[in-house]
Amino acid sequence: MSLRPETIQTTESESHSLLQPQSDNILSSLSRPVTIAFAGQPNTGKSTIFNKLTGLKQRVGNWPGKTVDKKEGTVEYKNSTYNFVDLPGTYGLTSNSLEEEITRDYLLAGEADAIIAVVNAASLERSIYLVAEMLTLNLPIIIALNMMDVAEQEGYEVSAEALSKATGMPVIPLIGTSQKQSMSALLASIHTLDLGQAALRTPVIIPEEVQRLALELKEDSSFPTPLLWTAGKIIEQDKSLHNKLLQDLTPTDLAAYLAIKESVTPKATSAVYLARQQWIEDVCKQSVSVAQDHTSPTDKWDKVFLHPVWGRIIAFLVIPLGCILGVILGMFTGGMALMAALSAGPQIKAMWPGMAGSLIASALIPAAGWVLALLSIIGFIYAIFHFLEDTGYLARVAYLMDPILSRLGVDGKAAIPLLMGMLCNTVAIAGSRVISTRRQRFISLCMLPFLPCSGQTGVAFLFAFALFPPATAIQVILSVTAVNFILACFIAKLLHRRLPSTHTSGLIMELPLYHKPNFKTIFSGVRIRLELFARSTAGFIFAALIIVWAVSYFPDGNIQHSYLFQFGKFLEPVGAFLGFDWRFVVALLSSFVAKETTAGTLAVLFSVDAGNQQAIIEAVRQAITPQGALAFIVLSNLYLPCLATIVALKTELGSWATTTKLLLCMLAIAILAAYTAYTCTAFLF
Amino acid sequence: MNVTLLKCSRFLHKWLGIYIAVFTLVWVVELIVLPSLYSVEPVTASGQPANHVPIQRVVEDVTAGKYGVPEHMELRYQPNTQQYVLINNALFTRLTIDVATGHTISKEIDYDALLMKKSGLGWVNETLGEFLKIPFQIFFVILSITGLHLILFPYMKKKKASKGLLSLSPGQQFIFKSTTSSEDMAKTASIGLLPGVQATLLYIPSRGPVVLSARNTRIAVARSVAKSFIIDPVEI
Repeated sequence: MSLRPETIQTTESESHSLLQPQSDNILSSLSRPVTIAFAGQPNTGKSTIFNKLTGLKQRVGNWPGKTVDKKEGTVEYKNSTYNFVDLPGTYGLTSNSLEEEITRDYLLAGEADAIIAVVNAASLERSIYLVAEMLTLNLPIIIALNMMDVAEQEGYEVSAEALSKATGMPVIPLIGTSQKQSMSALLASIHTLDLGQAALRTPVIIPEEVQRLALELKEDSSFPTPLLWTAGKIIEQDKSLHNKLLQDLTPTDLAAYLAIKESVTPKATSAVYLARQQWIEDVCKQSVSVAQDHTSPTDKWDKVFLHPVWGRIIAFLVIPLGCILGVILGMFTGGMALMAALSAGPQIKAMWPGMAGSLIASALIPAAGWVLALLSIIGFIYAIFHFLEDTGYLARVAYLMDPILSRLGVDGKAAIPLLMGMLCNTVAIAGSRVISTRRQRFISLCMLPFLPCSGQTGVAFLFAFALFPPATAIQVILSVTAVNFILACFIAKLLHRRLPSTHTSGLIMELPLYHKPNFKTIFSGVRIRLELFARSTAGFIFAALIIVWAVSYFPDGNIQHSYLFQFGKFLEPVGAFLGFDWRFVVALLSSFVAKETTAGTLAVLFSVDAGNQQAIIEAVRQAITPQGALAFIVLSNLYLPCLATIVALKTELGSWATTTKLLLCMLAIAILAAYTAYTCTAFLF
Repeated sequence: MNVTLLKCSRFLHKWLGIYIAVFTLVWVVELIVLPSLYSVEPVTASGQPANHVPIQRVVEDVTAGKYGVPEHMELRYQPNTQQYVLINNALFTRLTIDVATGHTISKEIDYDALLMKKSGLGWVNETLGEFLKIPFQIFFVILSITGLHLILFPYMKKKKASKGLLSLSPGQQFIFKSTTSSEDMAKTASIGLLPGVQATLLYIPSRGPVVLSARNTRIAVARSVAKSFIIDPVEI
């Protein structure tokens, strides 16, 4: 069967199923809204199908207590209401990551009435593995056979009809990326899905050992249901289930479980996998035919992109260029809005003197500008990286970076957010979700604030060249940046050694087939990411700027008498300890909002024109010694990240306690490094 | 013994190679950056009288600090060209003065002296620069010897056959049987490597993960995981 977009204007009759359900036992016969879970392995085009089916009627949030996106959508079809839940991509029902745990727990919780299993037609044998695992759940399943075009490109011919016969489930062939692809066949299939399907198909691939064990586990026990699934996972020696059972089982059941676990032999474990392998092989033998002497385009491209030299050169060009392009596009849109907002301040103050004008000009409008700037930068960078990911290239970059990063306790997937961190920590932290395990994500999140963002680098350049001769300035910048990197690597290495090891034997990662990206999915992803960012971070940016404005305005509107000034004076001993006066302390405090504000604050405090950089430099030179200047640059580069980063960090780490610990640690390191720079470099100047 | 020597060669070759590579890079950057940091002012008329200028007069001017800090100055007389050459060892400049007129003929950067003194991190500290340059030639000789040893070693000693996936060549097919780690089994199975599946080793770089293809899925596997695979190579 050869399918092209124009030939797959699927009709309701194209749902391939052997089963002819009774009309009173179908999904649409349920008198309540029906919940359908969208499950599939990564790189099967699951989100594309979900977006196509639900359109813009999606609700986006987080899974309860988790920092993983939850997407839901509702569709009305023939007087029935269907609620679709897009589950995170998972390779199987053994949880190796947070996303896989969420998917597994949701499917086991019995909240779904049916499952749409999205499989990749181009690698059916692999992607149908999840379906093989789901057979033990007592839920009816529809197979959405996606990426038929990629299968053809790879020389594979998949018969939906034969697949339906072999699996006993309805199979809908789809090309999710095609504009012409209709979802009517899928909806019709859902509408008429047999609720009794599970009973007909399950015994096929369940080994005897599992069936016997499932009978041993009593229905009224504290073992999680379905018992067939639990029995299978016990025999598989699933570690995450083991930990769950240790916590949840009653003492009697726990004793029984431990006895069962002792008796599980490697042969029984192997039998579970062999049974699945047998089922997959049978199913694919009946439904897939491979073209002889067909060269895969993926193989051709991989000769270049995975080449140890050329592949790395291309990756080192593509990723920074992608980041730079994203920042440039962001700066030309949201960045312009920020500049306009900041430059409008004096006019607003003149038009509207007094507290209200000051609040609007110094807090509300800059906050709106910052939110717009961050949204546009994040949006463009995310779109570029989503594009690269959708083509299958990003996985190759992760593969190439793995040898370097694995020494720091993270695998190649962490390369992307770490590279982005050099531009903007906030964006990088939000993008850290690509990292698969919690442990690696935690290590990466702790590394990121130590990497100098573009704002910090800008401040370092400005002050180094202003306060030192050119040769010394270059040395200062290189040394400070080196300290940043060394500390980031040191923190990663330390955490890698100290954190409890959670099965990190090494990278096992799919390198997806190259394929045409779907721009609708990219835009939908960008929209969701921006929505979440706006909801979680924008409010904090507004609040922070208002607080900073308030402490620098009150009690009488003059910064020289403000609470910020008094606080700066109070902290003067800290500054004196590091070789600079209270004005530098206040500048550092204000950079808490955004690193770029340091120079502006110093201009205000030295009572010179903020736009006249030479005047700022001259004034600052008179007030600080070279050692003090070095300590200031070191402290500025290492001390707390900006507010947006802190909020993003809290969102991703999931707790204020952990975030605070990390920030205190950073602060201590920064002060220590600045003190060392101040005291140990006297001989240099 | 041979293995120890090989390890020793590898270690030396790696670290000396890094040292020389880093130093070479630093030098290249310095060659570009240093001349731009030491600029010279354009030559202007010296206003000296248009008659023969005795060397005592020039010495007096140098001692008086007319051409720079006297301690850094070096004066040479070039009889064949009838010129005085004043070298400033701090600013790395060469000032040429006409003996007959006392006019400054040219002022230029003394690149040789500049690079000799300041390259190789001499700009950080001259003693450090000198210190870092001393072992360079010795290191280069050792690097060449260890490099030759590493190239010739495979021919000197019959290669010891390693077992498992990492011993296969790119393009070779194998049957995946299992892994020695039960924890990896679920992950490998879900990604397409179930017992009995025929797979092909696609790439096996000298470092980093290997890439294999199973069921039209390309899978990158860390070497530590690949080592634990139990496989049967397919004989063609």
